[in-house]
Amino acid sequence: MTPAAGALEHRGLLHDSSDGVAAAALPTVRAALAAGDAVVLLVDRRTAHEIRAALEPDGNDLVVAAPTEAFRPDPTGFLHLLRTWVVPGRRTLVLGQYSALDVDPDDHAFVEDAIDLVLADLPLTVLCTCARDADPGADRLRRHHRLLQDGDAVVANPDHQPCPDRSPVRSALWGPAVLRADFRDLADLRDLRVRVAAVTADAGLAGETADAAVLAVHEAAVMACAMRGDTAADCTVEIRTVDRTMFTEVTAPGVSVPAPPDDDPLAVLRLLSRTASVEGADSEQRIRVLSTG
Amino acid sequence: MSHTLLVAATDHAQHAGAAAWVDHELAAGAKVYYKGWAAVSPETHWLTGHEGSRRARAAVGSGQLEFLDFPTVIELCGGTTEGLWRLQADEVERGLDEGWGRIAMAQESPHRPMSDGDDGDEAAELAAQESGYDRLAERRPLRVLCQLTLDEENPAAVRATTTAHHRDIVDVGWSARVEAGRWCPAGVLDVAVAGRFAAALRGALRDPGPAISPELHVDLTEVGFLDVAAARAFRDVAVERRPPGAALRIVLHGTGPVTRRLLGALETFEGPLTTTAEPAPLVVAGTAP
Repeated sequence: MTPAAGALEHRGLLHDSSDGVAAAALPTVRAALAAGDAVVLLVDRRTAHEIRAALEPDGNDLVVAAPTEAFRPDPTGFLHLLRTWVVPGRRTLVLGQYSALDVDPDDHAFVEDAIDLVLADLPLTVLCTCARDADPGADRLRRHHRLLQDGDAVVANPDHQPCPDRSPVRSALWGPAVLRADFRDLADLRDLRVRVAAVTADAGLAGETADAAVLAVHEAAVMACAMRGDTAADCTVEIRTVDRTMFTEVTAPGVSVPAPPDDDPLAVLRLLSRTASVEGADSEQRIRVLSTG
Repeated sequence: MSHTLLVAATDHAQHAGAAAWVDHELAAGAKVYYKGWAAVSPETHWLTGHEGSRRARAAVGSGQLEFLDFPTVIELCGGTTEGLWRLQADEVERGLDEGWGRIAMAQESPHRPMSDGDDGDEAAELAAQESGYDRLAERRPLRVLCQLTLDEENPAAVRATTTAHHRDIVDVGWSARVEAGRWCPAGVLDVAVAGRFAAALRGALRDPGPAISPELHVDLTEVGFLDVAAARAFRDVAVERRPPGAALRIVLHGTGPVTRRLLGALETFEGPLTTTAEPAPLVVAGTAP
């Protein structure tokens, strides 16, 4: 059954090698077409041909995209690509094939997690497929998908590993920094906010979303000043943007003091953003905030 | 009536604001009495020396602008609040007798050595001194500029001075005034100014206005940015013990969606301000109490 509009469905499908992707995914594709959904195939040529032939004449309604180009120029390009396939007033099914993708494993993992974080409000069904005996593809699919397609049913995946709170994702995966600024103390935050507001506008965020994004960066900077303790060294803000998504990293020098057990210093930040986390190292702490439009 | 507190971080910033105010009053034809620390001749004072405006220099010569240094003020008023009020009243009457249609008084940041631990009595005395200006202004065409230079005052003095001037403050990045029965902050309310903002809010709460009202109505329409520290200031001040006659609760108007989200988050994470049996001390207008 097609989910309600406006909600992302991100599922995995493990198929037998002997059947191939086409046989395993056809029922889902048929149901999508019957419901009036748009369908995009991100599969190899042979699979695309098989699916189209099986659905004739409706097979001509399918859009076929080149899987080798999906992660150009960088992994975040795929997120942008998914956004472009959203059709106003309709749902879009995107069928992906692990074996057809030309992508670094770390980048692939990043994108699988990022889909759930930044595209959750889009009317997309992203169905990722992999052969059950593919190694390491099958394990990767199980790790990244909360839901699995099992015949006509969609079931919870007990092997799903949620995106970790302290992510090792390289911030550079979000693209080049559009803003990099140092600040010493709270009095510097006023000027910083003006610059952040400009970045937010350029990223396409507007209204309440933009206000919340600026406030989130401000609060992260306040937190960094507190984390720094007596150190007089500067803190740093770096912001990267891609397609109405703003990734901010605020770095505070020094070793952080653990928060009391009942205290969640990120609670308000999480309310103002899509997600927030703190990543610690020996000589610095990094507060990460993700805001989306 | 205008009784403004001008807050600046440094002497240099303070001079710029005060000079502009004095020049404006001189241009409007006011007799200006200026009290400060410089125990030097008007010719070398920063306001009228080579850095000052031509108008201010001319005003010294014509008698439109008069200086008095603080040590002399203390000596003349006998170091008492009542003596200070008499000195100010005499200045106003003398200016009017000289034919000036309006009087302006400005005083520099007083370097008030308030104790940080317990500022109850000292704060009350400061408030009484400031209210002397207000009593005078009710009967005479008087405008007052008090200056607060943050570099020169201790935290207790900053708090008490801000509390006493809640009706008209021009601070760094934010301001507040009373309009149409509401207390109206404007500008940026963030962690850098949250302490002074809280002090001003405290003053407004204790002085909700001439109308007898159990509520202080705060209009946030002109506040462009409000962060967690400022939101927390509303909550902290709302639950403080207050003297008799103070407003019982704060009603916020003109709140944006992010501010409402912030206040709701603090309510969730830090708990409600009251038990369900008591009326809420902080309310957002248009939402359920």
